Amino acid sequence: MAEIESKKGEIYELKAELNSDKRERKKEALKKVIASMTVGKDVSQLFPDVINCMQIDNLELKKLVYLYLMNYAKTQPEMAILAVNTFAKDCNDPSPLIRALAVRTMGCIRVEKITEHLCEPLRKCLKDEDPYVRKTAAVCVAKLYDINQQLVFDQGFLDLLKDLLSDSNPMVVANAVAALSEISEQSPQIQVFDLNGPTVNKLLTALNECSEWGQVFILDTIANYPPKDDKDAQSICERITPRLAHANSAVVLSTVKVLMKFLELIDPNSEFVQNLYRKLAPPLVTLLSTEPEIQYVALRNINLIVQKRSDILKNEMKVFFVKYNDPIYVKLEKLDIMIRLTNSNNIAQVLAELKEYATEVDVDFVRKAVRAIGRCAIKVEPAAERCVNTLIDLIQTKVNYVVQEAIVVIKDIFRKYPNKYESIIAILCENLDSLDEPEARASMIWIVGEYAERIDNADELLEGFLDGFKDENNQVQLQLLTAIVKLFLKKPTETQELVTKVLTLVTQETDNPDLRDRGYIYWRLLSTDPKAAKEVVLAEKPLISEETDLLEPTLLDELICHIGSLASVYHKPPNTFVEGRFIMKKKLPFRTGIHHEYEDITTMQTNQQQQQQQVVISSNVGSLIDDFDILGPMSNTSSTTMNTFEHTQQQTSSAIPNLLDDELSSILGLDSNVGGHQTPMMNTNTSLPINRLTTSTGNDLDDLFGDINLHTGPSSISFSSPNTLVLPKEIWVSAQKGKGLEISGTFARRNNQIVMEMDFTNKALQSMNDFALQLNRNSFGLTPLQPLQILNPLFPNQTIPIQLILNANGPIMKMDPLTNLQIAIKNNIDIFYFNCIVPIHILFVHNGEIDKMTFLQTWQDIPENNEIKYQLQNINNLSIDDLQNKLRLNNIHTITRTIIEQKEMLYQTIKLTNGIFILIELKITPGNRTIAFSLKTKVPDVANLIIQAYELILSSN
Amino acid sequence: MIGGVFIYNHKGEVLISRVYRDDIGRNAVDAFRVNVIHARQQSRFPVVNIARTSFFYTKRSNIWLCAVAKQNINAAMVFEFLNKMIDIMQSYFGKISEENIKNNFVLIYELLDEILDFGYPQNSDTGVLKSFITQQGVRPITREEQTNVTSAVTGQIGWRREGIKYRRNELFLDVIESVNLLMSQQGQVLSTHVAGRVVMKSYLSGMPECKFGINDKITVDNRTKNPLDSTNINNNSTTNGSTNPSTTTGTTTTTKTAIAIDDCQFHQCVKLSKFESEHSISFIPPDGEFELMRYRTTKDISLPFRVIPLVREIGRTKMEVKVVVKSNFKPTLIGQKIEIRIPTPSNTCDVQLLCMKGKAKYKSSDNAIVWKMKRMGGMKESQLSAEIELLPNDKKKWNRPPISMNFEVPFAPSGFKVRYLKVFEHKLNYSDSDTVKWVRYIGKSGLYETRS
Repeated sequence: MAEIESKKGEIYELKAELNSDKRERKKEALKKVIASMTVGKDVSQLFPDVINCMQIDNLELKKLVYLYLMNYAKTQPEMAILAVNTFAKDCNDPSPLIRALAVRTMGCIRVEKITEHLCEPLRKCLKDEDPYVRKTAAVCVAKLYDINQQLVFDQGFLDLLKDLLSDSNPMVVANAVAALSEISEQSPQIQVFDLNGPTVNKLLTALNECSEWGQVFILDTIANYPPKDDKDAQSICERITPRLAHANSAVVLSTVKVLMKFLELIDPNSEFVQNLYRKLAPPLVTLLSTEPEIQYVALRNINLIVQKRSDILKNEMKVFFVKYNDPIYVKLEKLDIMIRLTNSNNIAQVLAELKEYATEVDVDFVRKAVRAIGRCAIKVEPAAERCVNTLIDLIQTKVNYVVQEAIVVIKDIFRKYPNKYESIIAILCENLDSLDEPEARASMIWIVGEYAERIDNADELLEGFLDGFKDENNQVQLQLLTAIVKLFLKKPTETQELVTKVLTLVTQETDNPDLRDRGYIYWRLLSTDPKAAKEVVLAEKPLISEETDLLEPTLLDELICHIGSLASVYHKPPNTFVEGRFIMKKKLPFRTGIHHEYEDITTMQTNQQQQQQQVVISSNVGSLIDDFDILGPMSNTSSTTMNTFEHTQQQTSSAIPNLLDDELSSILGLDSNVGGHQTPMMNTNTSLPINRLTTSTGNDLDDLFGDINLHTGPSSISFSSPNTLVLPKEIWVSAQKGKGLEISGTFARRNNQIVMEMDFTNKALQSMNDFALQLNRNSFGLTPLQPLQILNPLFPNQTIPIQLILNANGPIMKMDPLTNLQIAIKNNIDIFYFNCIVPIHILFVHNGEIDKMTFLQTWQDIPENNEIKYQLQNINNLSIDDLQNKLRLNNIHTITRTIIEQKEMLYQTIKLTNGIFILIELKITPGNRTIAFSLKTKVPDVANLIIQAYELILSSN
Repeated sequence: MIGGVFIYNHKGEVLISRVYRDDIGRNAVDAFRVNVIHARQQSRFPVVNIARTSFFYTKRSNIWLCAVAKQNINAAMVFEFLNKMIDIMQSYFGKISEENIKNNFVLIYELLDEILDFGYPQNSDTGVLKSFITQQGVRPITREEQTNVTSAVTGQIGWRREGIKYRRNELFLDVIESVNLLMSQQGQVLSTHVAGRVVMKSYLSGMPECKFGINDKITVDNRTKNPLDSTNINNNSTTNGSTNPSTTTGTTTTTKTAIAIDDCQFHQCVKLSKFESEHSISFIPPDGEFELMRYRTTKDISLPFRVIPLVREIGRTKMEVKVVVKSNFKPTLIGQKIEIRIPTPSNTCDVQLLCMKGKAKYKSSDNAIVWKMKRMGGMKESQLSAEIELLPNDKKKWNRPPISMNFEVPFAPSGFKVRYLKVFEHKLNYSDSDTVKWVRYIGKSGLYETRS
């Protein structure tokens, strides 16, 4: 009670003082009010008294009142209205400082009713004579936009803001740029900020004169400008490179961002690029002598830059050597970059450093250093032996976490250099008991299984692990199962009991489906065909890649567009940590090269795509690759929120769950899950069904359609599917319309060429000659390879067959429907125009296969709303193999085939002549004729055509 | 953009809280306290993301400064801003401490209102801010002064106001270099660089234009043999020596005295485009003290001192350390404030010291022997030997931290030389020769470490 009393008393006292006549007392009281406000005490009751102080013509007092007002206006909207008049009055004050203060404050009062009254004063201030007021008003438009977008449009403030881009004062320009780019980022659907050549020119001029912060705003905006061509990009680069010498690191990094982005457009072999590389390195290095926090930001960005363009810093290894007093976050980042820059020339130095680091105190850092030694071994072959020896030295220290980390990397070294270092296995085995981390245990078990024949007591060792099987981590359990099966295949006589034990254990006593399924498969394999089992389980393993921990390329490209920003620090796309708003996915510009002819359609596609991808599903791949959790700045505190977020994402993209699993491939005999996601490349050629297709089936079908096939000899057999489904000819031009000339035709794909096959029949009474043919521009750029050649005149009642090979590199124009083709044919009588439809499967190219990982990544990269689902009817009740073959003949490639929940899953790709990929998933329930079809592509326009093609192919005989 | 700025004391109590954006609530203040200041495990990164809000923070003595944002903002800019804010506060009221912040909170709010608008950093130059945000708010500003202020804040020369007058035009240049070294036990230089700063104190009237010349290799010798030597500077600068005073005088100096600067950065007053095209450093300086230039060199650095350590572990309870220091500069010069830190294991129980010069002490709180010498002439040598007794119980291996050294020498170890600084003021009647100029060189130790 007493406390409430005293509080009341305090407020009462302040009230009295605020209403005092003396200015000094008022001021002191106001200070006390603000102090209470800061600590979080509620002083909103004083609202009317504080408002009363507003009238006083004293700048300092006014500022205090405004501070109060900004804090409490929202809770007391009725009272806040009382302030409107004062604002309006202040906006007309002769002092520019007061005018600016008023316009600055009123934008911060987020009360609907007040906002309306602010438009007029704001409009005036945007045209104020004093630049200080104008620069404040420019920001106020952004504030208003945050409160009420419609009001900003209605009042035409955006245009006023755009006018300020041409202001004579660079500071005003900078603030206008900042406001405009924030507005356009918030509403990408409307063209708020038209960044064109002249605007950029203005900005570049202002750049030289405005404050450091203004330079950051302008550079960040220029980064969003798409240069017209390489010359445009080059000239902007030239104009901004002097900024690299700015003392403010934000200016430097934003300059680097623009340069990195525009470099994409410039010929990489040109002298200009080489020069730029030389200019880029020193400022990046200099960033390492700034405050540690800025160093951290710089290092995270350098990490990206080195991955994208490793040449820039290739000679700067030494500056990344860790200093004893560096904060831990700087140390960890430096270490990462050191490894990326390691090569055979500097390996000796690097290794000496790493050895030094491995004896430091910080556990995370030491672990990373140890892991780095292993990465060196894998990356630089000549140094592998030295690295291994260093690791062995470290294992001898018996420091628990060092030993575990070393074993994990040694496993990778074994993968890279099989049968080379097995002499050290004995040393590793000595440390078996000290391993308590799942990854280390799994690695050790893998090593034992892999080299079981050289370890005398391998069975004892593995049996030891088996005792506590149920308590082990899933990763360890899977590894143990595989290792014991390997052991059994190598030493069948002594280990029969052991293998039975483990198989019983995993098939009967575990709830984990992966484990159980793998157990069943092994069991079945072993019981039916031990020889096959041997071939599968002990198959030679594909090589592991040299660089590990690389960011997934599309993610890397996106992050390059965000250099300097939070996304580049987190190494995550913005939509994973920014809420709600629409975020445009940024992309590196695309250099036009040899494929000039496809340019239009691809830019058209990317534009479409950008508009559709307002909500982009993030690539989980990035976080999968990011396997050291300790590296992520979000680790400790935010992990829960991030995880749930990613979890839901994974659920949404669950259409391809089993492709995500490395387990699948390990079932097929490639023990990939030890390497985890570090070795994604190994999954390539596991899709067996494709290879089963023999040429003989191809020939059978060849005979079915292969009536003509004239110009090519037997060599065509070398292609797995020379000819695709051909529809019967239909009449394109009737005799009536063609003034006696009747044309019927169709399209075929023969020997991977598009062929237009036509019959010309003369139904008139006179002979025809001077034939010519032209195709209008069309969606796929189809154009005749050579002109139509009919040498002899076409006599009455005569029919001649014509074959015209088409190229797909002609000029492009989008047609509706996409496959529409406009043809003009001329003869001595007239010109005839007609339309026909090119069946889309004719445009499927034979080399449209992609590997599993690419498939998976592409699938994930395509937003969910681009997915199209359909129910296909398997009319002829084809078996799955037949179905696959049939599709294969038409260049629909099956990437992989698996069974999930008794359903056959087929993953297929199609590549069109213009390079568009279409990804398809077929879900077939045995005994059911309905096939669940789902399709993803970056260009959804083709989806319906693809469905038609499937239906056509499946229903054909 | 920045959503809010908070300042906390070491207990996590808020001293200053200024929110700029609606998406930052009061709970953000608490989130940072709970998750970072009060966190059981010290946070390992200067940026943390808590519930989709990013917190950028830095610490000065006991005070936490924290900027908050919900958008994907420019992280480098945020940290630059926080550092700038610290500079501004220091120049207003000195040390960043709880007491100073509490006593000046109104001033800080006023500053925060001025230097951040809706989270966009605005002109944050101390000189200009001081012209209209004063601690004694009573000072009434005339109308005329107000327009001066606004043009100064937004002007092209945002760092200097008009109408400055001095009876005596004077300027001081300090070339301050910190030498960084990492040397192996065997005396092999693992990495070394000089981080130099040119600090200028100018007391000049009017709006003077200054031109600054240094003995950089490119400026001195326009036809460099190998452009790779000085990577950042392009050598397409104009070669007509008549317009460029640096080349005329440059021919008299030999190329030997020219140094290769790896990279340099300038205060915002320097016209960067002019530097890029003509390679001349020209600027209108702020009034008073400012950092004109920062540079970095890695080649031909004369290391002022060499430390030669010898550590012998005798059994598990005894160690012998011998450290020799050699000075490596002209005998006429004198190095000062020399301090050598020799780390000792944490289980040290007794240390016997013997040194030829200066004073040496074992500081158990720092786990180090600190050997201080007030001064040491060039080309001299001194030695310290220590016997360290250890407690046997400590099982952990001692990971010998490097021996570090501090010193100050009256020359620039990189060889950096100021060749000229010319002052032109066209409106007022004083010329370059009327200006009094002082130049001083100081070489300091940065991280100067030798592994033991």
